[in-house]
Amino acid sequence: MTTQPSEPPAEKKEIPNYKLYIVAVITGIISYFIAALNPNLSFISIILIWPSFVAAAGCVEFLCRYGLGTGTSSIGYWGTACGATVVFASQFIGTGAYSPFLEIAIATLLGYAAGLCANKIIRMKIPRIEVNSAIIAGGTGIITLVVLEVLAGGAGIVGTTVYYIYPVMYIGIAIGILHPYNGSLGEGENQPRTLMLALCEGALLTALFGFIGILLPNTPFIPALGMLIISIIGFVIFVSIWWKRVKKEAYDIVWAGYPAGVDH
Amino acid sequence: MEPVTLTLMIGVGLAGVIAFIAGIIEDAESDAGSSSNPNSQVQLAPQIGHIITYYDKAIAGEPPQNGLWAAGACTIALLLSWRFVDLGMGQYYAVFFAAVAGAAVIALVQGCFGIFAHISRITSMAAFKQPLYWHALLTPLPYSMGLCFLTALLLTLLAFVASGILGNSFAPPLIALFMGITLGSIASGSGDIHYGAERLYQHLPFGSGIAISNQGDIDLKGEYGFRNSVDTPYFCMRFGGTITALAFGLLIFLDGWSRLFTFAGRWTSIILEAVIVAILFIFLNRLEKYTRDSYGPYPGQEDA
Amino acid sequence: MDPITAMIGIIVGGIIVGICVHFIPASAVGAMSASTGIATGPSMLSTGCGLAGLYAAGYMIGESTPLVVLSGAMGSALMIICTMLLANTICAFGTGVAPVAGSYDKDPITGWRQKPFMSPGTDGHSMPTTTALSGIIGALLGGAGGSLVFVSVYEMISPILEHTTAITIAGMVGAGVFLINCVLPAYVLVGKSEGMTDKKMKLLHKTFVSCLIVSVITAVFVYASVVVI
Repeated sequence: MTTQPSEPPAEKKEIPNYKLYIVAVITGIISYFIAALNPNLSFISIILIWPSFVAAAGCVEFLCRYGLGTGTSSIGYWGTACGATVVFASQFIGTGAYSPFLEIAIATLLGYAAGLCANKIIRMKIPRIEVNSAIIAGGTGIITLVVLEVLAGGAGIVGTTVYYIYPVMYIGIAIGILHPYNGSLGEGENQPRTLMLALCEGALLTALFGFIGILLPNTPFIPALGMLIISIIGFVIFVSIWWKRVKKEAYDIVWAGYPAGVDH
Repeated sequence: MEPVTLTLMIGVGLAGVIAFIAGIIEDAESDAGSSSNPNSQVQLAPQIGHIITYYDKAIAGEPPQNGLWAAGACTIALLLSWRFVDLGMGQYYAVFFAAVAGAAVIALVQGCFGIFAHISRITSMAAFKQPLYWHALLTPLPYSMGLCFLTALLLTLLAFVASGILGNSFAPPLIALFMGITLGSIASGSGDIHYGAERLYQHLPFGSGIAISNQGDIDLKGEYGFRNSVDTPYFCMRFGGTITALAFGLLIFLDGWSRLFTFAGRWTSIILEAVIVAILFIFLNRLEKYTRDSYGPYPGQEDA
Repeated sequence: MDPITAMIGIIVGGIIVGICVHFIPASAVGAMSASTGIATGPSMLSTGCGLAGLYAAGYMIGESTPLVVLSGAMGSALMIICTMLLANTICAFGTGVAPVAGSYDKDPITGWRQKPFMSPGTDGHSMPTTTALSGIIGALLGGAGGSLVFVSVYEMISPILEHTTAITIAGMVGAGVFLINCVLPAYVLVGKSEGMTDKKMKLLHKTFVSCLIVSVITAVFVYASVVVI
């Protein structure tokens, strides 16, 4: 896999978020069409939506570094609400060749509008908040869209029971994109490690969705099984890369011992 | 709702009991791994020189966490229960066993998120010389996962009771999502005060909030040896957990109970709930007066 | 209900949800008994209380609109009063402090003085009477707004889909509107609010405009996807 933006040679070089987003959109649209045209190849689609998790988590990290003042998680809920609500509401649009473009565009637009409100009306003074909140909304929209497409097996949403998984998808994606930064919060937080954690958690979430997808009635279960297996493989690979980074950056890793500075 | 029958009355009581126990367990789960708002104190401690051995389980805020565990377990339970019923199992057995299976899967997911959170937060504290202690992570981990299993199981059963017996029109996973976020808000608003203001700061005297100057100066030593996150739930369950349980249990029970009456047609439940809100508001006022009279002003602040 | 009325219902409901966040007292530092309000962040607390209202509204869907909206409002109010009463209990017997607010010196309703009972170095703790009343008003608004959005979306999509699907999708869109419209005011409040007595109530117009814009886009999109296509 060549879409690995997380091992730059210099320590402080950071990857701009819009580049992550362009990669995410291109891979997202390709994955949608692969899933729609040939459901059995949908495990490739799942590999292609992991960049969306990375793009959204990268934007959460960028915005929260400036100190939102309300806790680092709220931007995640807001972004997912914009993205996922648009996709859920757009399930009535008949599936056609233009529908992914339309849905992603509107999700991005809603995120951009929310960011515009935050900047011009509420005056939060965070640089580039519109673009970043647009990217979060668009990224979560892409993930939701493709996962729904894979799980419905190309059969269309209306008339199946896929809507039962909306709640868990919604809240799962929200936590999945805000957790990498929230979990790495601290002095020594850096973009490569956070984005690697985003990949780990993206794989974990798609594994959970794949497991749920196997249980769905009236839909073919080969796409979901492929989703589960490829996610588990991805999870193992990403965690081993992330763990190597952790070992390099932690102060010390010991089994037990007395905390320093406390008499015993 | 349907006409009042014995099944409906049992359903309301059952929902109240499940909600009560879910409140205790959920508060214990948020204490077994330091999470939610008091976690800011655990995060602050290394910055002022205290090396901690707590399980820094910073997944997200408490409401969305519980929303995810509840919605995930309920979705898996719903889909599995259809499969079990197709295989010929009775309806109630199918729901129960499917709920157990769903909660077990979700407990594993919570374990993964918790491990990621702890390790990556401790790694980010490297500048303050905070080591990654394995005993701080691995000792509370099974306890926390077990409590999460129970929380997810109870919230799933509550969602099925609300949807199946009490007649709520939403699908069970959506009710579970609502219940999870509501329970998380309630537990975060009541039970976490006992953890944050009392258990983390036991060396400070009882009877005062934590001043800004004291924040971060948490307890490092426990009753015997160094404080670990397994030491927290047994203390907080006695008071904080019970109060959280009362809050959530009262909400679910009173809401269902007010719908059992039909003396004013469809408006009965609204009138009854308004009366209950007014009565509880009067209780709040009386409690405030009682507290002010019992404690009295702070010494030196009587005429401030 | 025809689709245009339903669309206006979504917009109005979204704005009311945004305004309710200003009325509910919440602050994250309250978990250490260091500040007045319920000890959670305002965005998630308002979401929790509004979703309790949506749960209560789910029992009444199918009846007339005022009934559903009021049922949702009362469900939210019940949740917030249970939380506030028992949070005060914990502060009284667990931490040993009296309910005291930092934003006023004499309680407007009871006339009791706040300063002598405030822990030194803190900004108040738990909820005295007026702050609690503000919380109840906020919860009534939040539950009503959320239920209004829910009913409007349900009326719009029930001709197309069958009953249970329509209710679940309407509930999901309602929850989504909650999450968008509860986070924007939390940014205005910068994470902490003491309810209607707080000086940040002067910033209500910012919330109003932001929620208006976001709700309009959402409502137009739902309308377009349902009616036009």
